[in-house]
Amino acid sequence: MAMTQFGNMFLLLALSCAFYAIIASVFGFRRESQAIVISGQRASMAVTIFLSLAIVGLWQALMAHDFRYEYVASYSNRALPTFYTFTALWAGQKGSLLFWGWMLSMFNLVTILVYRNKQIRLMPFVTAVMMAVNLFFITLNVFIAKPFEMLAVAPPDGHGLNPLLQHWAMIIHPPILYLGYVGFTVPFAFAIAALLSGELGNDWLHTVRRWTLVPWFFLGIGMLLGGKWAYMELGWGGYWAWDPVENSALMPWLCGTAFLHSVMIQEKKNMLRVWNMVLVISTFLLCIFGTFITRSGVISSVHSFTQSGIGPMFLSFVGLTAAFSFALVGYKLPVLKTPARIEAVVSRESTFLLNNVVFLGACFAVFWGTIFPIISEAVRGVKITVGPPFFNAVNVPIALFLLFLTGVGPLVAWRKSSLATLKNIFAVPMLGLIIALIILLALGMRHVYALISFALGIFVTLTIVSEFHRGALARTHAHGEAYPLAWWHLLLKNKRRYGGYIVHLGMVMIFMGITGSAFNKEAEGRLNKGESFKLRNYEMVYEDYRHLEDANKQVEEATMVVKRDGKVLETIYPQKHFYKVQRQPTTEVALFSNWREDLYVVLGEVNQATGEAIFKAYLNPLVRWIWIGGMILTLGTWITLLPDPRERETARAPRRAVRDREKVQRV
Amino acid sequence: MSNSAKRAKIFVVFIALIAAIGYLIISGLEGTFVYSRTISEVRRLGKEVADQGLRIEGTVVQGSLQKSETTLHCTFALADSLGEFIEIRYDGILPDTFKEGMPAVAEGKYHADDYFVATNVLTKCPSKYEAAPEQTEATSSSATY
Repeated sequence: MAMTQFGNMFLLLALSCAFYAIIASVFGFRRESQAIVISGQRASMAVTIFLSLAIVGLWQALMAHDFRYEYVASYSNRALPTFYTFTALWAGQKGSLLFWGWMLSMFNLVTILVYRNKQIRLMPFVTAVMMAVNLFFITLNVFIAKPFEMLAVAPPDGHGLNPLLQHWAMIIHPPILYLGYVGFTVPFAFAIAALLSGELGNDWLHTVRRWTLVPWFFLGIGMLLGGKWAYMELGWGGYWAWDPVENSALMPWLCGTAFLHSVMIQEKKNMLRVWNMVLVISTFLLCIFGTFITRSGVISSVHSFTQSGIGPMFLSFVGLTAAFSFALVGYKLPVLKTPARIEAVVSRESTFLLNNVVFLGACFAVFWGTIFPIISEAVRGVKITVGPPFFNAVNVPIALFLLFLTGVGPLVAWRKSSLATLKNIFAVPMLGLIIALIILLALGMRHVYALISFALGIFVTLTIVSEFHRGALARTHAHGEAYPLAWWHLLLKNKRRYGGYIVHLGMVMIFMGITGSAFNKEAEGRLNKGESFKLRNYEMVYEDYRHLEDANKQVEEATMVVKRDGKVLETIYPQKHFYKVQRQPTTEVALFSNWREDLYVVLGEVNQATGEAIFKAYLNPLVRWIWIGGMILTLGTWITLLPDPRERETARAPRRAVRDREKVQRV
Repeated sequence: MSNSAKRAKIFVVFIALIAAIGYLIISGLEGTFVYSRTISEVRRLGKEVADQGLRIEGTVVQGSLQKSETTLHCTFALADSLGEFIEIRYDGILPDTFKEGMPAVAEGKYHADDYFVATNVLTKCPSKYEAAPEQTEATSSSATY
C-alpha cells in the first residue's frame, strides 16, 4: 500500500504522540503513577511507528519516481541507479531532517526497551527529554521543511541526485554521522533526567558513559568516512579542509572525548560531578549547534550564499536548551558538589584535568574559528574568511600536546606517583623517543612539528606496549599462563582499560597519517599522448584516452602507466565524469596506494580533438595509516563496549536496590 | 607542602595552559584570515589592500577566459553587480564547474598594477545536500571541503 499520501498525517500523529509522551512522563512521575508513565512510553513508541511509516512513504515516492512530490523531483531522476534513489532519502534537507527525527525515535525506543525496568526513577524524564528534542525535529518537518510538499505540476523527470553524492562513502557517511549527532541526545537525556529526578548516584553514570561511547564512535567514524569521500571524490588531494561542515562534527566529538576521560574520575573518585554534567550538556548543544551551522547557511552567508528558513529555529532551540540545562545545573549545584579535592600535582586526576583543558581548548579554537566570520561581520562590519592556516596553526601544537598526554596520562598512577616509579615506567619509551629522533634527524628530516609528532608516536606506542607487557608478565607469574595467552586474558579481563589502549593506538596511527601531510608533494603536467611527467621518483606516462557513455553520464578516461625509478608498477585510469541531467562534471581520482604513500592522479581538462590533457598528481605520505588507524579505533571501541565482568557486578547492586524500592512504592 | 599550596600549583599550571591556548588562537587569527571584498571596493582602495589576503566574487565575463597553450596559466575577468571588473591571473587547474557567465570566487592578492593574482579559484555549485538551484555552496578546485 502506498503510504506516501498519508505522509503528512503520519507526521501530525507523530507530533501529537511526542507531545503527549512529554506531558504524560512528567505528570506520571509527579503523581508517582507508573500507569501514566507507561502510557507516555507507549506514546513515544508510537512516534517511532509513525515516523517509520512516514519514511516508508517517502521511500515509496522516491522508488515510484513520483515527481509530484517536490522532494522526489529535486533529488532523483529516472536514470538514477536504484541504490542511489533509495539513499536520496537523506540527500536533501527535508528528507535528512525526517531521517534524523526517525533515528532519534529509534534511540528512544532502545532506551525504553533496555532501561524501563532498570532505571525506573530516571526513565520518565529520559523519555520526556528525548521526546522534547524529537518534537522539535517533527515540528520542523510539519511546518517548515515539509518532505511531502506537492508541486502544482509534476515535471516529466527530476533534477537528479548531485553527482558528488554518488559515491559509496557518501552514502553511508551521512547515516553514520547522524547516528553520532542523534545518539548524543541519549547521554544528554540521562544527565537531565538525573538532575530532575535527583538520582545523582553513580548508576546513571555507567549508562551515560556507555551511551556517550556509542555516538562518540559513530561521529568519529562518520568524520573519517567523510574524509575518505572528500579524498576520493573532490579531487583536490586532501581529506580535511576545516570547512564549517567538518568543524561542526569535530566540536562535539572533542567535547565528548573530554567527557569520556573525565567520567573515569567521577566513577572512581566521585569528583568532577558538576564538570561532567556540563560536558554532557555541552556535547549535545554542540551537536545541535553544528546542525544549525551546516543547515542554516549562516556561515555561508559570509560568502553571500542563500540562507534557509530553519536557521532561526535551530538557534532558538540551542539557546533555550542551553538556558534550561545550565539553569538546572545551577539550581542543583548544592546536591552536585563533592567534598573531594585533587591531592597531588602529578597524579592521574590532574593529568585527566589537563587532558580536559586541552580537549576543550581545541574545541574552543575550532568553535572560535568557525564563528569568527559571523562575529567579525556583526561587530566590525568586515567580511572575512577563516581558513585552514588558522586551524592548523592553533590545533597542531594542541594536538601534539595531546599526543604527549596520551602516552603519559594513563600511566601516571592514581593519586601520587613517586619519581622512582615514573622513571621505571618511562625509561623504555623515552629511549625509543630519543632513538626515533636521532634516526629521523640522520635521515634529513627537519620539519619540527613532524619530528615531534613521529617521536611522540613511537613514545606513546611503546608506553602502550609496555603496559600490555607488564600486565601479561604479572599474569604469567600469578596464573602460570603462557605469555601470548596472558595478553589475550589481560584484554578480556579489563576490557575498558586495555580496549582504551587500543583506541589510543588507533589514534596514534591516525596522528602519524596526518603528520605525513607535512611532506605532501604535487606536480602538474600538460601532456600529449606518449608524453610523461615526473613527481619525485615516480613517472606517469600518458598512454591513451577514451570516451565512454552510459544513461547517467559521459566518461573521459585516460590510461596512464606509473613507473617508479624507471620500473613499471601499474596502469591507472584517472577519469572525469560528466553527469547529463545535472550538467555537472566530477573527478574520479586514480589512486596507487601503499603503506608508505599514496600516488593520487587527477585528470583535468582533455582536448577531445587532439587528446592533449592536463594532469595533476599528488604524493601523499602515510594516508593509508589514517584509514587503518580508524579500523583499529573501531576495534578498540567495540572491546570497551563489551560487558566487563567487574562492571556488571558493581552496576547490579544499585539497580537491585532501586527495584526493591519500587516494589515497596507500588505496594 | 600544604594543601592550599598544592592547589595553587595546579591552578597555576592550568592558567598557564589556558593562556597558551588563548595565545595560539589570537596569534593564529592574526594574518591568516582573508577579507571578503567586492571588486568595486578593491579597485577603489587600490594599494591599501595590496598586501591583504583577499576573497572576491563576481561573474566570469563572457569571452574573457584565456588559457595558455603550454602551461596551466590562465586569465579571466570577474565582474560585480555594479559592473566593475578586474583581471584575474591564475596558475592551476580551474574547478570542474568553472564557466564563463557563471559566478566564481577568487582568493589571492591584489597587485598594484591593477590585476588580481589568484591562489585559489572556487565556483558556486550545488552543495552536498542541496541539489536545488536556489541552494548553493562553494566548491573549490583546491580546498573548500
